[in-house]
Formats: sequence, structure tokens, C-alpha cells
Amino acid sequence: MQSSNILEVESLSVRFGESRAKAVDGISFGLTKGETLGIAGESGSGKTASILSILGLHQRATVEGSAQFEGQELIGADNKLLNKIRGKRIGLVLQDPFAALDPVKTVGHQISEGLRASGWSKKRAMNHAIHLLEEVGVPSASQRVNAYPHQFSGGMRQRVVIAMALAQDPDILIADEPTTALDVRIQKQVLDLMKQQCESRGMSLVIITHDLGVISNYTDRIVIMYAGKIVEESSRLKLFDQPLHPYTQGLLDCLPTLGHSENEYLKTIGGQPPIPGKLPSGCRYHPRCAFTEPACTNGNNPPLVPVKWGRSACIQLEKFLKESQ
Amino acid sequence: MKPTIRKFLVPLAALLLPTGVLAGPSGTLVIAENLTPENLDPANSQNSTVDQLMLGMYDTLVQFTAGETTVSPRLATDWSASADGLSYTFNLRSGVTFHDGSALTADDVCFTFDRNQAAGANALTDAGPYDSCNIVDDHTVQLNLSAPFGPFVSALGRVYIVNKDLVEPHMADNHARSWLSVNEAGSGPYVLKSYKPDDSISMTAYADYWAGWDGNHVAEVVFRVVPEASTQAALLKAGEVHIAPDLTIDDKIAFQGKDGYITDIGAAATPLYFMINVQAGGPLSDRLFRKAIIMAVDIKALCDAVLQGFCAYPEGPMPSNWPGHVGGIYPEFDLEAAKKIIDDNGWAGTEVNLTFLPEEEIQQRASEMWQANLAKIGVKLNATGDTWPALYAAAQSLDTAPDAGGSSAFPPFPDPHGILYGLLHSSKMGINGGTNFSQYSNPEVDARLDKAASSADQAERMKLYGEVQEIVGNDYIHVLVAQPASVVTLSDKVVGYKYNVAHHQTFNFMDIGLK
Amino acid sequence: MNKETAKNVVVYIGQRVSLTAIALVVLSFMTFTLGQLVPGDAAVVAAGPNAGNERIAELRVEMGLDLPIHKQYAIYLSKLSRGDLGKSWFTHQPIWEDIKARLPASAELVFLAMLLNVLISVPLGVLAATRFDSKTDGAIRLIVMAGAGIPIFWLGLILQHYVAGEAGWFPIAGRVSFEFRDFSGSTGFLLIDSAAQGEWRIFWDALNHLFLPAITLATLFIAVVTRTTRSTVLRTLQEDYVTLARSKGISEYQVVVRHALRNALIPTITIFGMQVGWMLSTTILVEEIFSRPGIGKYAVKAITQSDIHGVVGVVLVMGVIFLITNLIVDIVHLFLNPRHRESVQGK
Repeated sequence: MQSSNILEVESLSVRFGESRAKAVDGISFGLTKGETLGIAGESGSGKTASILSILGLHQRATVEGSAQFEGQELIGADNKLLNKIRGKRIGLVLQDPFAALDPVKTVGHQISEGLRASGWSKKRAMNHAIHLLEEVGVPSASQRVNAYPHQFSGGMRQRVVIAMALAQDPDILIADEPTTALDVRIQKQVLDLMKQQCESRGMSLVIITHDLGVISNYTDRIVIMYAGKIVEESSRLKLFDQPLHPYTQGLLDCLPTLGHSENEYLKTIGGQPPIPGKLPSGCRYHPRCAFTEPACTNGNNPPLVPVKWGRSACIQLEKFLKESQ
Repeated sequence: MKPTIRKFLVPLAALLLPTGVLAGPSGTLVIAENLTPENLDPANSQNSTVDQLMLGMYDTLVQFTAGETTVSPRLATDWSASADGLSYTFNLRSGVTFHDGSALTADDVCFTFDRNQAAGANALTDAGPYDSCNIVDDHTVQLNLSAPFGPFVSALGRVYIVNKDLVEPHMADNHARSWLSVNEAGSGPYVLKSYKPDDSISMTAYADYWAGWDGNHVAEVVFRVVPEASTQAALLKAGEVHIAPDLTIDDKIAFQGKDGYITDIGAAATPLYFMINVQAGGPLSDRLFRKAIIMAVDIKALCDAVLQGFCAYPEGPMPSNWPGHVGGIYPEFDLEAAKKIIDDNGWAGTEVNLTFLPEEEIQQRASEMWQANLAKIGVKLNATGDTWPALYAAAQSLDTAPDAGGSSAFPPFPDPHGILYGLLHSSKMGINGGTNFSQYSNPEVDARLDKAASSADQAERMKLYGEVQEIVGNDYIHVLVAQPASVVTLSDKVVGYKYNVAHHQTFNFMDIGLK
Repeated sequence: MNKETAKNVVVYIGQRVSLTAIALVVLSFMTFTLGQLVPGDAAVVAAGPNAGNERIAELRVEMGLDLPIHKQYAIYLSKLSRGDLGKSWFTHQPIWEDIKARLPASAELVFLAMLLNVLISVPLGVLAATRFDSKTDGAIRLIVMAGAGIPIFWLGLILQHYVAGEAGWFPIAGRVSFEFRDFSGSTGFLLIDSAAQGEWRIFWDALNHLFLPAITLATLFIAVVTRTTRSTVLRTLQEDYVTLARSKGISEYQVVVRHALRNALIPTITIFGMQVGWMLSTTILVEEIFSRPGIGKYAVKAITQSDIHGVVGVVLVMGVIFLITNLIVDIVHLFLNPRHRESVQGK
């Protein structure tokens, strides 16, 4: 890991609730300037929890470890410091555009709110909001700026949310399942928009998804998470060619293939991901894995180690690579 | 220190200032009142809350001085009845003026009686068969009856004389009821100053009152409406009211003998009856059964336990302090004998329905006591609480009339007629729109009541009423459950308080002064 | 709001008002009919004990009670349409005058209780929600539970005995101190009249007299709103838009007030609207203890006297107040909730 990373996450753990089980269990990754990183995994794997924890947005979570933005520690930081990072340095886009906007405030208000808090005049902030709406492709932005969220379609709302995240010109844009709630045609438009904005602004982008297909064309690097752990890290090209973990292979198998028809059932990975607090011993994936051997079921969870072109947490990696070819 | 000063100062003041010089009303008397008067119309004076105010604002021909059950002159200096008892002549005091300064004359008196009759005033319906009024001269009136009525003069104690000039212009509107409900047209010692419903009524002394203001009187009287008993206690303690008539029995006892307070115990005449419906059929129509259930009423226990001894035990249908009272009428409380009667006649298991008024706590407690005792002799009492209008309406038909009804009597004037007629006469049976909830009809009793009502011979009247009480005592048609005393707590600054037994729950505040 | 919207809002309010009028006619009919079920007879009450059947029958005709119920109601309605509520059978005054003399005292009480309710319950609910599961939250929940459980009558007596009687911090009873008993004004609202005449000592005195009754009356309502505000704010705090608002780097205060509370207020305002009516019908409990005149007492008196016109009059006036407050709530909603505004515009 080079210190040139704009965001450096080290041994980050997040616990919730009474059980105090770890939803995120000591993950580490970095993000360089201008890079696009994908974080993928089934729901409940800890993707969202880790991202929200970095920004201190999990109200009732216990967070351990470290997350440094430009060398500044965010974990355990107070709201005063975090508010200098939130929005201004790191922007956030959430999954459901229908829930992400306050129903009783105009979109203009919501886009300009962060700017106003930084001391912009109302007029200037509103003008900027109009400009942003234009930029994210909302037609007749100067009128629509005074409209309420329910007056927008889902896709348009997500554009508004993106405009909101971009408003204070952050260095990193984190998008949590930004297209899941949208229909397929809109998905691509939104992803294109984000990608293009990142490129033009030299902004880093983190896309969190459960659907590897979504990010296949947009990310430089992909991190795969399972049961609170990172199980593989790889470049986009290599990951699709040759995954370094049976779980990644499982995710790839679930993708619709060319010529797939709507009536055909999609393949899924058998079984359910474990819930925090009831983790199996050994490799957390072993109950669902096709390559399980006795070594996988005992002892501690296998560590994530650098292998070949990336990192993998599979102790049967060699066997898996051989058989999957 | 304090008593010494008082001992010393009071005689000193008396020495320095002869009473004649002390005269002239001063100070403000504040009286707590748990009800707001429905209106201020003298036609409504049978209602004691209204009556209490009328006593100060208006004058009557005759009056009952506090504690007395015989009349004395007020506006009338003297009176006489014709030999046939059909006409009464009253000589009026001269120099009496209404609050507007105009003179009170015979014309005003006749106007008052005619207006009351036209308005169907309950004050007058109780005053017997009034027929007409003649003005003999400015200061003489003649009141004519359609039939002789023995207690006629007593019944005039609540007929308040109004100022004809003020009232007559409003007669077109429901006999001036609306106007007189919020205005005053009297000649009494106090003038209405303000009337705020549910809040307060104030009056100020009328400087030109004919009786003058000798002695200790107050310049202003305020009746403050305080519905809650505990609030009355708090206000009395805080010195915000001088007289608190409606405390809880516990508070009354707590204040008794406490420094700074006086407890006035007045002999009251507002008895509570449980009336047994003799026309209910079944065992209830049998006087022996009624005797048995009356024997299960423990009047003494109720008096001691619930009323804490603030009560009398008359042993007959009339209050013990009422003219014509006869004791020893009711059977003794005896559960064993009662049970024997029930068992011997195979009446065990009989159910009796009682309707009582739970707003009077004594009724609630008496019902519970009776229920428990009746259970011991094998009779089941189903006690139901209801409102007065509901009980009254139910009694109007034998189909709906309860087997027994709880009802307190508020006799309109101190005469046996005022209690016994409404309680016993067949024309006042519940089914005839009266308060004889026993639905009792006995020609022997009716004849005596009628004769006594029309007689002017007091000795003969009392004899007849005595016979009536003996007869009904033998018929077991009701039981007088309780005769509570009037227990009123006052600040010791109050001088001259005395319960007015002839008017219920009232006192003559015009006779009160402050130390 | 633009001109078009304003016009639509006016049309909307017009529709609501006409619906209100229909609701009132229905209400009057229901009260009138239900009044017949109450046992007892107004003529009997008016006649007094031992009046005799003849006098009662006479009065029944005088009072119009001999007519069939539908005719009585028709006569009532035709009077009502001229704004005449009839005359009371026991005060002999026009019912409207009776109500006018008693309503201001109750209205003042409800107003102050409502003010306390709004000022206490909303901040308390928000505080509990933002400090979820903390000691503060626990303490507030405990207070709320106690507040919801205390019988109003008992609370009033306790406050009166200790805070007014023993400690002497507030007056024991009444609307105004004895020295100001002769004060009166044109509206009957002591606070308004005293302020209008610049009698600030009386204003302060009347306010002092209102305080304990208002607290007594408000406690239950405060408990209810605190609890609902807490749970609604807890819910809105979980919303994505609140997370996103935080992610913009604005202060937590702004997040809570502008977004979480602002959305939670929509259901809360509805509850406030309903509460005005409930409070008005609860005032009698408080007024009895603190010896204040009021509309509730008049209603009870009218019921026990079988004075059906009095009862219907009070019910109608209460109904009008209830419907007006709900109309106000609706209008407030138009401002608070853009979706509601749009549905109105669409009409």
C-alpha cells in the first residue's frame, strides 16, 4: 500500500446491535486519486456498512480500525471534523432514489444545502444547483430546481442525488448500489454519467454493488466481500477472466450470459450467506463452496494474501484455479 | 400573645365605639358555593341555590328568622285571615323602596303573585290554591284562595316581591323569565352587582334598606362558585373564602376545633327516604314483607359511620326538628326478626330493585348498607344509580317504576304539609307526576291530609298529622334513612352565621358581619 | 405558492367548509335524536318536584315537546338556519349567549394547554429520539409513561394542594385574583381584554391562574405527542434522505430539524388538530377542580336537565371548533406537504 492513496482503510471493523457481532471484520483497502473501485458481494456482506462507517454515518455502530482520508483519521473523529470531509471531500449516492430525497424540500434546496452551510449565498447556491442539474442531464433545470422529488421519475431522481453529491465538488464519490432500483435502460445512463463526471473532475469513484455485471465496464479495480471480509481483490479485466476465489466464480456464474432470455431462471449460489455472530469455523464460504476440503473447515478464517495479480483469501486457490479452467 | 391582645382590645373597642357608631356595613364576605344558580329568577326560588341569593336581593311578605320554623313580619307588618280561610289581608310596611328608589306598594305585591301564577312558578304552586290579589290601598293587599289552605302564610316565605315597573315591560318574553334570570328587581338588603355564571355572584349593601344597617353587616357579599370540596377547603385555608359549606365530611372534622375556624352544626330538615313501591306486586304488596325489609335498614349505623354523627334520628316520617314530628313510628333495626318474617312466609330469594341518586354520597352508602343487610335475610337488592329526572320519569308509569326509590325531601316551608303531602297523598303518586314514589294511595290518609291542609286550627292540624304518621307507620311504605345535619365550616372572622332551617342549605348572610 | 395554486387552495378550502356545514347538520341530527334516548323529561325538570301532571303537560306544550320528534327537529333546523340556537330551559337565556359567556374561559385554557403541549412535547420527543436508548431517552420515556397514566383529576388535586396551597407559588382557584374580580372586557377572554386595555397586571394575574389548570390539562396530551413524536422522528432518522443530508456535511441540528423533524411534523400536526377537540371536552375535569367556569360544565348541566337544545348547541359549537381546527390543520398540511398541495392542485 502506498501512502499516495487518497483513502486508506486499515483493519476496519463494524459491529451492530445487541449481539455485537462484526458486520465488517477487519477489512483493508486503498483508493488512489482518480481511480474507480468496485466493491461487490451479496447483500449483508458488509459493503454498505463499511462505507457508511468511514463517513461516520452509522448512528448505532461500533467502529474499530482506521480509515484515513489524505492522512486524516476519520474513525472516531467528531462531527466537526467529519463535516469538513462529508460532502466537501467525499460525496455519497445511495441505492433507492425514491428514499434518498427529502419529500418536503425542493430538489434545489437539497442540492444547495451543503453549499449554503459552507457560507454560499442563497442565490449563488441555487444557480449552482441549476448548473449541476444541467450537468447531470435534468432537462429545463432552471424550472425543475424548484420542483419536489415526487415530481421526478426514478432515473431523474438518481441524477438529482448525483448532483447533490457533486455539489461541493468532492474528491471521492461513493455510490452505494446506485442503479439497483432503476430499470436496465436507465442504469447505463446513470453509470455513464457518474463515470463521465469522475473523469472530467479527476474524482475517485467507489461503486458498491451486488451485481458484478453493473460494474464490469466502469471500474479499474474490484474488491469482493463475503461475510464481512474481503475475499478477493483484483483488476477488472483479470477478475472476469480468472477469478481468484470460488465465491467470485459463483458471482460470475450468476450473471446473465449473452442470449439469455427473460424467462430463463438465473443461476444462483446455493445456500445462504452466514449472519454475523453465527459464522462457520475456517473459511466462511466453505459451507457453500464446491472446492471445500477438510483444511477449509478448521481453524481461523484464511487471511487475504497477495497472489498473482491480486489478493485472495482462498487456501485451495491452486486447486480452484486448476479445476475452474 | 394573641389571645391576650384580643382579650384586651375587643372590650376596649367596644368601650370606645358604641354600637350605634359602629353601624354601617363594611368589609367583603366571600362564600363558597358548590353550584352555580341556574338563573336569578325569584319564580325559581324553590331551588335552594337560587333561594340563597333571593334572600339577600328581595324581600318577602313574611320571613323565617334563622333557626325558626314560625314566620315573623318582613314587608307585612301584620296580617289576618278571613273566617272561611279564603282570604288573607296583609298590611305593608311603608317607606320601603326598591333598589331603583321607587316605593314598594300593594301594586307590586299583586303583580308579583299574578306573575308567579302566570309563569307557573314553583314558589307559588307550593303555596296552595292561590286565586287572586286585590289592592285595598297602597299599603294593604288581600290575597284570595280558591280553597282554604292552613299553612298559607308559612308558604309565603319564598315568594319574593318584584318591582312591577321594571319587570312588566318584559312580561311578553316568557313572563319576564329571561329578563329576571339575569337581572334583579328587588328591595332586599343587597343589590346585585355582577352575575358571572359558574364563576361568581356579587352584591353590595343597599344603603337605603328599610330595616337600616344597625349591627355588624358586610358591605359586599361574593358567592364564589367552587364545585370541588377539596378546593373549598384549600380556599378556606388560604383565607380566600370565609364560609365553606360543602367540605368533605373528613375535612369538616379536620377543621373542627382548629384555631381560626368555626364549625357551625345546624339542625337541618332535608331527610332522605327509601320509598317502597306498594303497587309493585309480589311480596312488595304485602305490608309484612315491607316491614321486614325496613327492619333491615340500620339508620343508626349509617348516622354514625357515614355522617360521623352529624345527623338526627327521628324514628318517623318527619324530621325531628319539624313541627308535628312524631317519633317511635319505625320498627327497630332487627335482622333476626326480619329474617324470621322472610323465612316464615317463604320470601327468601325475592329480588327488589332500588333506584337511587349516586350524586348524593349518603344515598350510595345507604344503598350499599341496605343491600348487605338484605342479603343477610335472604332478599336480593339490585341497586341502580340514576339521575333525578330519570327516576322521576320512571316513576310516572307502574311499568317502569322501580320497586324502591331513593329521594331526599326539601320541604318548601316548615309545616308537616310541606313534607307529608308530597310523600303520601295519592294525588302526588309518581304516576300522577308527584314525588310519592311509594305510589301510596290510602283514602284514610288522603282525607286527613286534605283536612289538615285546609284547616286553620293549628292544634287540630297537628293532631291530624300525628294520625297520618301512625297510619303510614303501620303500612310500612318507606323509611327515613337519614336526616343529615348542616355542618358548615367558617373562618372565625365571621360573626352571626346561623343556619336557616326553613330555607334549606341557606343562611341569612344579611345578618353576618366580619370581625 | 403561485397564483394558480392559491386559487386552487381557496377552492379546496371552500369545498372543505361546505363539507363542514353538512357534517354539522348530521351532527345536530344525531345529537337531537340521541338526546331523546336520555331518560328523563325536560318538562318534568322545568316544572320542579310535585308540580303535578297537569302543569307538566302544560309545560310540554309550551316547550314544544308534545310535537313528534321530526317536527321538533324541523323547527330546530329552521331556527338554526337563522343562527338561532334556541333558549335554554334552565337559564332562560339564548343558548348562544350562554355559550358566549362560558366558552372564552375554556378556550383560554385549551389555548394555553395546547401551547404548552406544542412547546414541550415536540422538543421532548425529538430529544428522546436523537438520544435513542440513552439515559435521557429512558428518563423521557418514564415521564411520558407517568404522564399518560396519571388521572387528570388526581394530578389537578395534587398540583393544587402542593404547588398552589402548600407552596403558594400559584393561585388555588378561579380565573383572576379577588382584587381584579370586577374587571371585564368586550371579548370575555381575560388575556385579550386585559392586554387590549393595557392592564398588564391583570394579564399576568390571569395567566398565573391559568398555569396549573393548563399543565393539568396538557399533561396527558403532552405524553401522547411526545411518544408519537419520538417514534416518528426515530423513523425519519432512519430514512435515507437523513443519511444523505448528513453526508452533505451540514450540522446535526440542521439534519434533525430541517429533515427528520420537518417530515415527522406532518403526522404530529394532525394529532394536534384532533387534540384541540379532545381537550375542549376534557376541560370540565380541570375546571371543576380549579373552579373555573367553562363550556363543559354547561353541557353537563344541560344533559342532566334534559335540555336538548342546550346540548345540541354545545355539541354544534364544539363541532364547529373541531372542524375549524381540522381545517387549519389541513391548510398547514398544504404548506408542510408538497404532495398534498399537488393533489389539491390536481382537483
